[in-house]
This record gives sequence, structure tokens and C-alpha cells, in this order.
Amino acid sequence: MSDITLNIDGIACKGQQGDTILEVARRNDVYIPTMCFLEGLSPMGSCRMCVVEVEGNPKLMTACTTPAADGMNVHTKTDKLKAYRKQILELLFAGRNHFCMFCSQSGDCELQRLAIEHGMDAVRYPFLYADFQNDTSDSSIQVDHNRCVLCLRCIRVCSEKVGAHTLDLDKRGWSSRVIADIGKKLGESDTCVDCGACAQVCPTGTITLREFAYRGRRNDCDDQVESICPLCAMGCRIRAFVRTGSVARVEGACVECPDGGQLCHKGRWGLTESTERDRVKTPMIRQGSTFRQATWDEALSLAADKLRAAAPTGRAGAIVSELCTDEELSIFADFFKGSLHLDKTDCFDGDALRGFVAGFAPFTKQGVRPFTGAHDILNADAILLLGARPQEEAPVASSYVRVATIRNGAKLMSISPFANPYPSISDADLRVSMEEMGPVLASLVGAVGTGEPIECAGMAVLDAMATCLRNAKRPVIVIGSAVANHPELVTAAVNAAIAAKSFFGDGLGVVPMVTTGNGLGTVNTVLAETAWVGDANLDFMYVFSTGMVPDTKSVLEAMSRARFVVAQTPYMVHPLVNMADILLPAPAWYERSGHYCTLEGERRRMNLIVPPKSELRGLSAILHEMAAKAGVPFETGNSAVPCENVFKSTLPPEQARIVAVSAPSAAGAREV
Amino acid sequence: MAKPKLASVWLEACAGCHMSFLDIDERIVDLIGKVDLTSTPITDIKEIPEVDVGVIEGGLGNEEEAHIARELRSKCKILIAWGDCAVFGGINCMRNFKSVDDVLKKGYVDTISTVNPEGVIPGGDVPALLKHAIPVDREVRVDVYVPGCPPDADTILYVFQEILQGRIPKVPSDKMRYD
Amino acid sequence: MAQDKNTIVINPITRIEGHGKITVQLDEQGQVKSSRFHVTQFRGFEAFSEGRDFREMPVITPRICGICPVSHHLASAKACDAILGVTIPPTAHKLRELMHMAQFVQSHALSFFHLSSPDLLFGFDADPAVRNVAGLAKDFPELAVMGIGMRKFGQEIIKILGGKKVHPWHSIPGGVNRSLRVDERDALLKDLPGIKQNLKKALDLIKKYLADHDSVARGFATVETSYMGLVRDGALELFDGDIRLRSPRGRVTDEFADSEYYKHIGEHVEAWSYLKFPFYLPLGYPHGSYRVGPLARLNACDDISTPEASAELYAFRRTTADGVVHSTMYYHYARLIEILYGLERMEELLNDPDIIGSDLRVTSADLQPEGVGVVEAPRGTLIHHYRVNEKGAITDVNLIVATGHNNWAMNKGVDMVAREYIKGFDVTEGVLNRMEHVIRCYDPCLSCSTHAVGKMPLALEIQDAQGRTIRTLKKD
Repeated sequence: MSDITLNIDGIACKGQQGDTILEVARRNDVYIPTMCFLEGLSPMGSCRMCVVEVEGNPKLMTACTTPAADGMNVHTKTDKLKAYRKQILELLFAGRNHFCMFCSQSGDCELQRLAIEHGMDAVRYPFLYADFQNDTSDSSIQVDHNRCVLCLRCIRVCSEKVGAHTLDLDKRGWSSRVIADIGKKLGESDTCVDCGACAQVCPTGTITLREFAYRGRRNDCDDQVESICPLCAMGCRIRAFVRTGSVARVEGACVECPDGGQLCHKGRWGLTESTERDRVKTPMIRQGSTFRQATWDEALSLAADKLRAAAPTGRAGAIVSELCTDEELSIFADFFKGSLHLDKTDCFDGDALRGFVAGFAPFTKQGVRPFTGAHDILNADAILLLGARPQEEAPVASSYVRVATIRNGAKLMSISPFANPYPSISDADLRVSMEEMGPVLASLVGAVGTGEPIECAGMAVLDAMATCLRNAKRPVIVIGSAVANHPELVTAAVNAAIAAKSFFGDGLGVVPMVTTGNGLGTVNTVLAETAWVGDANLDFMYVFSTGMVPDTKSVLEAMSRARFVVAQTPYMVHPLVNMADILLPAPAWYERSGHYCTLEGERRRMNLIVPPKSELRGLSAILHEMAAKAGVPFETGNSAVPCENVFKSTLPPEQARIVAVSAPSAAGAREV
Repeated sequence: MAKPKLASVWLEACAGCHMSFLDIDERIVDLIGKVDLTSTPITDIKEIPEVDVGVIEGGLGNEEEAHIARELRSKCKILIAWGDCAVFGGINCMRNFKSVDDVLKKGYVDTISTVNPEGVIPGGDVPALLKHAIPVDREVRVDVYVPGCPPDADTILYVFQEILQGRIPKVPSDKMRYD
Repeated sequence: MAQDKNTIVINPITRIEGHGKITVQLDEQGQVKSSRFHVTQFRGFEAFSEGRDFREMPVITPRICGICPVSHHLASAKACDAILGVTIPPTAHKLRELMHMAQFVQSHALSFFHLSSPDLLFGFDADPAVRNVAGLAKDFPELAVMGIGMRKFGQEIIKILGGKKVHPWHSIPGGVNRSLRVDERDALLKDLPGIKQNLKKALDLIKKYLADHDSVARGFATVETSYMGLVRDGALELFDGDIRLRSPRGRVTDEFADSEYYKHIGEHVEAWSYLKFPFYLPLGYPHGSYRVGPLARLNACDDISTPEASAELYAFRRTTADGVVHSTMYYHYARLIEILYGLERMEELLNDPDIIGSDLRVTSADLQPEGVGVVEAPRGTLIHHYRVNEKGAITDVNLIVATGHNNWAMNKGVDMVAREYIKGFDVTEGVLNRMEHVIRCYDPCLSCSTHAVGKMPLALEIQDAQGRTIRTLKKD
């Protein structure tokens, strides 16, 4: 790309061939008002706020869509342009019904900001007073068409970033209206994934999140902190808005990231909601059927006594949430494994993680990384889902799947015991039981590798899948969390990726649906080598829950059987707190910091958003004190930095070799 | 300018703009020294005299309000529209989506605690509603627009100070609000 | 306007917060036959709120009234809490109450200092050109500054919490959206004592006025009615309590949960006013009419929970033999006692550790089909009642505003003044002002009352025996 220079408002501005006028202007700090334009979405130039004058061209040009050219003379602030823009704004106000005084977006609204910026102190045009209807059919998102400026940002983000393509435009001109599923109200939509991206990009108060309205405009907030969403292993980057010490709102932060700044339904609703739950504020000790408040000293002394007695007997265990950061997991590992030599530590969903680890092990041993960043799905031209339900397991990865089918025309295939997660967009669907999946995968690996057709009865679909994978340039295989309970299937899936020559960056084109926040970080820290929770009969159990995802039933059951339980959690989550003899407060997700190993294949930082209040104490301080009270030295450095273990590789993916997996016959699989 | 006379009226609105005016607090003492308050909602003179500055808070929702707007316009040199209701029509305009009859029926017959078996709708001795609630400038010419719900006290004071300096002010962007 | 000699119209009624006019009808002999106080504005909030998300109501409904927007904000938020089916956290409850007390202080200060004190200080018959806040500032600067300062103090608290002095944004369904910072609390605690001192000066002023004008004050538009107000354990409550009705002779007629209001209160409609006439259902209309507001609340409660206001309440009650105060002029006195309560309560709240807490809200996904929120607005009991569909969109809105409850009493009071002061066709301006002052005693926020409808200039219109308007009197 070659450099170009244009003259904008008398300033020489450097740009590159292929830039739009707007891109060059922004890079050179020349302000041009915009409304329909949004970084990351394809520009369309429909609102005409960004019009500029280009010398030699009698027409007003939209800066967001007009390519910049070397030597161009551009004017952005002439009286003619200002009058033109103001006229557009007045027409927008006259044509629909904007009542700023009670709109939850007032103050954040881009239309309002532009109107005020342009000195719009009255509207010269007749108000139409046509009721465009307020759509309250969706219980979480309100669409007040009276406030719509038809910028189509919502339609674009829904299609380009979320891939749901729920929204579209109905009718023409002034009577145009944003609709769902080609003619439905939003609440009636089957395709909406309830992610709220449309509300985040809406420049006005048209699409708003009902539950979070009026909690504080961006302008009311004292601070903005970038962090990550802890709710699943994608670790999406978020921006949290803090108002007088509490999180008022959370938005997707990273427009340049593959996720394009989206959040899924979990992050959108779950994060802010968590700020208003009942907290465990002080240590508490069980007293009959209830708890009494206790001092830290008292609670930790009691816990240490019980622990000291139980540890040497082998009847003590610890469960630590996968929503902990690497640093927190390392401290737990230091304490329980290093200082106390417990052989029973684990996380809540250890089975699935162990399954992935075991299934990947033959390839890790070869020195290759048997998986790749989830965002590589975006670039795939063929996607094979194995028992995967990305919309539940890692919803933004699900966006990647949908977008790949729209943007790359990627072929979407599913082999699964579950219902097809994408019935309307998938190309091939094979419904098999978990038991049948092994042989099916073996056949597939063979066919992809050799090019031999699969001639087994009823397996035409599988044959088509094999052909598709073999022909694909960038195939990706997504392994569902349920599959991880069968490590041999995980291994078979990786074999398929190798056979299909699915090589990405420094890993194989496999994306495991690890469902829990920093699940990858538990590997080599607290994750047990073999499961023990199911048959545990313990004298002492320590459980750290972040209270942000439902606690695993098997762990709760183990707690109910343990003779003494210390539970540390930020929230009064039931039934977890009912199982405890000692309750210790923990910081909430926004009160902690550290790193996550994410499915995006990188280590991401979680930042402290609000400093902890009341009686909260840092994990390190608590565990050190408990170690002292239990009379054991605190051993640091027993575990390496988790992510380095997980993401490391010594060989490029191209050198991975298919390994042997026992493969019975594929008979009995049924085609769907 | 000699001590200018000012009249203000409160039409289809909530009085919030007049309250915001009172929120100039102690500065009102100084202002009263420079401006002659005649007929206003906070003074007792009922008949609008000939004045230099007329202020309208509120939109126009019934015949009487439209009449008062015309009367004030005819008696003042500079007419100021205070607040979103006067400038844009404001929240009153939300009734414009429905017919006057439906709006009245909802208010006087259908509301939960109303006991009105005969379906009496106010109509005698009270001014009839206009079909639409409208901004002031749909009825009379307005010289100065001060949007806001309500405009900030400082903005209201700024407008008066400008007028006292002999200028017809335009509210600058940094003093303008719509909410 | 062609005027018939038999009708007197006062239009507009100024220095009250709303729109209205008075008509007096005379008979052939020029004797008062009837008088009516018309509220002339209707805006339609009940109708146009339909279809909105209930969460918007605490921001929509304050636009009913710019004088006590906080009352609507809070009543609405309480109705929304009920729709969510939640009990808000203690910090949120106390912050809301703090804002409410601030509202009482600012609104009552406005009513007394800016609007009513000119009548008391200059006399009803004084020149209208000076009988206003400007005259007050000129002739009684100390009092004017005191009043301005008191109102400012209240308004500043509202602004701290809600971002704006008029139409703030603080309460949301399930709680509030901002906590109070320690430095903000400390600054308020520092200013409080001075404000309280000033309030006591005003109390002395009204007590002296009432003593000096005893016979007029006691006789002025005095109607013996029932009284309604919120109480909590029998004590005066402004934010969250049960609704109590006390009879003219001091018996507690009824006491019920605020959410049950519609089983006890109905509203009557007259063709000549946009303001409805609430009444106590068991007694019907007009027998079940009652009064609300400062006087009514002090009559309805047994005691006040804060010490200094409690002492003042006892002094107030000693002005009558049976402890029930009916004199309409005593509304001013009652209003100042309530400011004192508001300031004392504020002090209690600001010294409560919860006030700087950070548990601001709770939520719920299970919406209840309806919610009622009741607070005492400065001018009396304010009721918001919403019904929603299963998605939370408003289907029905019922609003009974403070001034509405007093509608019958205001009409009755106007009629009494008319009969006493209008003899024949010769009507003086001072008489008109007395009629207005009846209305002004109730400090009617007619912007509220006409939320549904419209405006309140006060004109006195005199109609002849045939009902033709023969004369319209406006003060000029």
C-alpha cells in the first residue's frame, strides 16, 4: 500500500491508498461528525452527517465511504456543510418522536450530542407525530421505533459480528422500520441470541437494555476499566463503567478484536446483575441451622484446626473455581499441594478438562499444540462440530461460526448426539450417540486422509463431510464439552484435523469448548489427575466458588457428605452456603485481578474494577494466615505459570502425526 | 436599556422551568434589581401588560393556552420559549399519538380508582383540548429558544443577562440540553 | 370580554403551583349562590404512558410536576419495586428518603418564603406590585435570603444524588443508581445546623403572625374535614407507611396498607374541572371528602419521631381544645413543623452508616402484574398505581395526586370566602386575593393535579342567575 497525502481543512494529512476520507481525517485528528458510521462495521454513508466538500466535485461526498485520493482538497467545516448537517438533524427530530427528557440514553445519545453540537435550539420542520410504536415484546430489550434514525448499525452488527442476522429493514424511506426475522417483533424472533449487541451500537435510545436503563449514563460514571468477562473461556474484553464505587454497566470493549466488541447474553446480563446480589460480608461460623458472624481470626483458626487434623489422613480436599485467575489458582496450588501435600484438589468441572487434557496428550507429547484460537473459526471455510453446542458453551465462538458461514460461505457440519445447534444454516448433520461417534470419526479420518469414499450404508452424509473437509483450505473442528468425557473421541477429533490438514498459526485447527472461565488455567495447578469428588468421604473440604456460574452438583453433593466444610464465596449462593460450616467472604469478579488462559489462545488480563469493600481480604493473605495457624510453611512456586504450560509448543502443527485410537464399526449411526 | 419589563406564563408544562429559574438562588435578588417582574406565576399581577420580554414555559395543549401565547406575543418585544415543551412540544406531545377523546376517556373514565358511572368528561367551563399538543412556535413567532427539561438555571440567567446587554441570545452548545 | 355583572372570575390564580380559575355565581340580589374552583389543564399522562416499559415511569412521571418532581420520582419507583416484587436494600431506602426530605425542605421553603410569606408580611390588601418575592427581597432581604438558602440546601441534595435539581435521575426499580460519597455527606452535615436555625426563626414568625391575627387566622376558610396522611407505628411518616384517615373529631376512621388504597378511595368527576375529586369510598362523594397535606398529616399522626419537631407538634396542637387543627391558615404553620422534621430526619439519615453503603439495588426477573407506590408529597398523599403486561409494558396508570385530595375542600373554602366577603356586585381586589389565598394555603400543585390534563390560571368569573358570565375579574 502506498502513502497518499491529502489536504483536509488546509492541513496536509497522510493516509494510505484504500483509506476513506474519514479514516485519513481521524488518523490526523480532524473531526468529522458521523452517526451511521461505526468503527468495525462496514460503512454505508446513509445518514449523511459526514458529508464533506471535495474540490472539483460539485456534490457533497460522504467521508465514510469516499476513497481518499492523493492530492485531494477536502473541506469539512464550511458553512454550507454545517447548515446541511443541521438540516438533516432537524428532519430526524421532526420525522420521528424524540423525547429526550425521559430517554434512558439521553446524555449518551449520539443524535442528541450532534444536535446540540450543531446548535439545534428549535426544529423548523413540521413534526409528523406518527406513532412508530414502542416494541416491548422482548422482555429484556426494548425497541422504540420512534427514536430510530435508520442508521442500520444494529442490522450490521447483528449480521457482521454476531452472525445472527435477526434484524432487517422493512419498507422504504420515512416509513422504514427495523424488523426481526423478516417481519416479526423482536420478542417473537427465533434467531435472536439475546446478546444485546444491537443495543450497544445503537446511537440513540431506540434499542435499549430494559433492565439496565437509568443505572448511569457513560457520562455519569466516574471511571472506565477494561477487563475481561470471566463467565466463559472466551475471555472477551469488556469495558466496565464505574459509578460511585459500583459497576453501573458493562460493554464489549474491543472493536479491533475478532469479537468486534460484542458480548454474549451471559456477559451482557450476568455481569451487571451480579453487582446487586446478596454478599457474604464477614466470616461466619455455623450455629445450628444458621450462621453467626465471626472475626477473621476466629474463623481461620477454626478452619486451620480442622485442616491440620484432616490433612495427614488423606481425608481433606479442596475445590477451586475455574473462574479464578492464574495467580489465584497458583496460590491455591501452593497452599494445598505444596504446603499441605493434599492429593485431593480439583476444580468444579474437572472431568471435562481432564478429558480434553487426556485426549490432547498424545499430540502434546509430540510437541505440537493440538488446538488453536477460537477466532480462527472466523477464517474457516469448513466447520465440523463434534457434539458441540457453542451457543451454550462459548457463545461468542458461536458468533464466529455463524459469521464464517455468512462471510466465507463456510460449510457447517455437525456430528452429534444432540439436536443440530444451527438447523437453519448447517449443511450436513449426522446424529449419532457418543458410543457411535468413535467409529464414525475413525471412518471420517480414514476417508479424509486417503480420499477413499465411505461406502457404508446410510453414510452418504459422512462421505460428503469427508469430501468437504478434504477440499477445505481452512477447516476447523469444534469439540463439544460433552465429548470431553470420552478422551478417545477428543484424540480422534484431533486426528481428523491432522488428516484435513487443518493447520493454523502455531496450533491445529481444533477448538475445544472449554466452558468454564479459566478452565485452561487449572491445568497444572489445581486440576486433579484422576477424579475423586464422586467417591469422596472427607473430614475437611475447602471450596472456593465465585458464585457466577451454577456450582456443579457432584461437588455440592460431596460437600453435603464432608464432615467439615469451609466455603469461600462472594455471594450468598444457595445451596452452596447451606453446605458450609465456615463461610468466608471472597472478592467478586470486579474486585479481583490476574490472568486467564482463554480459548482465544492468549493470556488475557482481568483488571480490578472496583476496590473491595468491607471485610474482604486478599486470597494470599488468607491462605498465608491459615498456613501459619495450621503450623505449615507456605510453599511458593510449586506450579509453573499455567498458560505457558497450556499454550506452549515445540513443533509446528504441520508436523503433527495421527495417533492410533481404537475404532469399532460405524454401523448403527443414523443419518439426519 | 431602561429597566426592562418581563412577563412570564406557564402553559402546558410542569413549572419545572420556573423552578429552574428560581434555582438561580440568591442571584435572583440582583436580577430583580435589573428587571421589572410584571405578570408571572410568582407575582400577583394577572393581566399581562405591554412588556419588553415575554417568557413562555410550556407547549400549547388547549385553546386557552393558544390564546395566552398570542396575547403575550402581541404585548412583548422579545419572546422567549423556555424548556422542551415550549421549544419542541415536550412530553405533552406523547398524547398526539391518540385522539383527544381517547386520552380524556382514559383519564376520567377508565382509570382504576375513578367512580364515574355516567362517564362524565370535563368540558364545561374548562378550555377544550387542541387536537395536538404543539410547540409555541407553531402558533406564534419565537425569538429565543431555550431547550432543556428544564434548562439549567445558569442557562436561564445567561439568556437574561444577554438580553440586558441588548443582545438577542442564542443558547450556545455548551449550555444547551434536551433533558 | 363582555362581562355580565353577576359572575366573578379570578384567572389566573398566581403564586400557586398550577393552573386554575374561580367562578362565583350570584343570584338576582347579588348574593353568592355558588363558587367553583376550576382546574383548567389536562395533559394525559395516564393515556400516553401506555405501552412504555415500566422502568421508564420514574423518569416520565416527574414531568407531571416540576415543583415536586422527587415525589413522583419516588412514588413511581416504589410502584416499580412492587412490580419487581422486591424489597430494596437499606442503603437505597435511606438514600431515597434523604432525597425525599430534601424535597420537603425545598418545596415547603418555596411555598412559605417565596409564595405565601408576602401575603402575611405585606397584608392581603397590599399592592400586588410589591406583594411577591421581589417585594420580599426588597423589604425583607434577610427573610428572602433565608428562604432562598433553605430551598437551595434541599435542591443541592437532590442534585448531588440525582444529577439535576429539577427532574433528577436517582431511583430505579429495585433501588437507586448512585451512592452518597463520604465527602458529600460530611459537607451536608456541616450545613445542616445553620439551616435549622433559620427554620426556627421562620417558625417564630408564623407563630407571632397567627397570634397577632388570631381571629382571622382561625376563621379563615376553616372547614372541618377528615384528614389523611401516612403513618408508621402511628408516627408522622412521609416516605413509607400506612394510610390513615382521622375524623374531624380526632378518631382514627381507618388505617390501611398503601397498596390497598383503591379499596378505600374513589375519584369523582365533575364536568367543570379537569381535577378529579377523591373521596373515602365507604362514605361516598361528597360526604367522604377529606384533606391532605401538612395540616392533615399533623392531624392524622399521633406523634413525630424526631424530638424538636415532636415538641413543636405538641405546641401546634395546644392551639385548639381537642388537638385537631382545622384552620386553613395553619397549613403554613404545619408546613414549617414538617421542614423541621425533614431537617431532623435528614440528620438522622446522614449519621446512619448505611447512608454511605454501596448495596444500591436488587432486581428480579419475575414481574408482578401491578404495583402501587405511595408517598407523602409536600402537598399530600401521592399515589401511583401501574399495571403491566407479562413483558413489563404499562397497560394502566392511575395517579391520585396530592392536590386532588383537597379539591373538595378548596372548593368549599372558596365558597366560604365568597359568601363572607362578596356582598353584592362590588368586589375588591383584596377579596379576590383572599380567595386565592384559600387555594394558596393548600399550596396546590396544580401541575400535578392536572397531570392528566392542563393548567391553572385563576380568574374569578361572576355569573348571573342564568349562568351567563357577567364579569371576569383578574387582578392587574
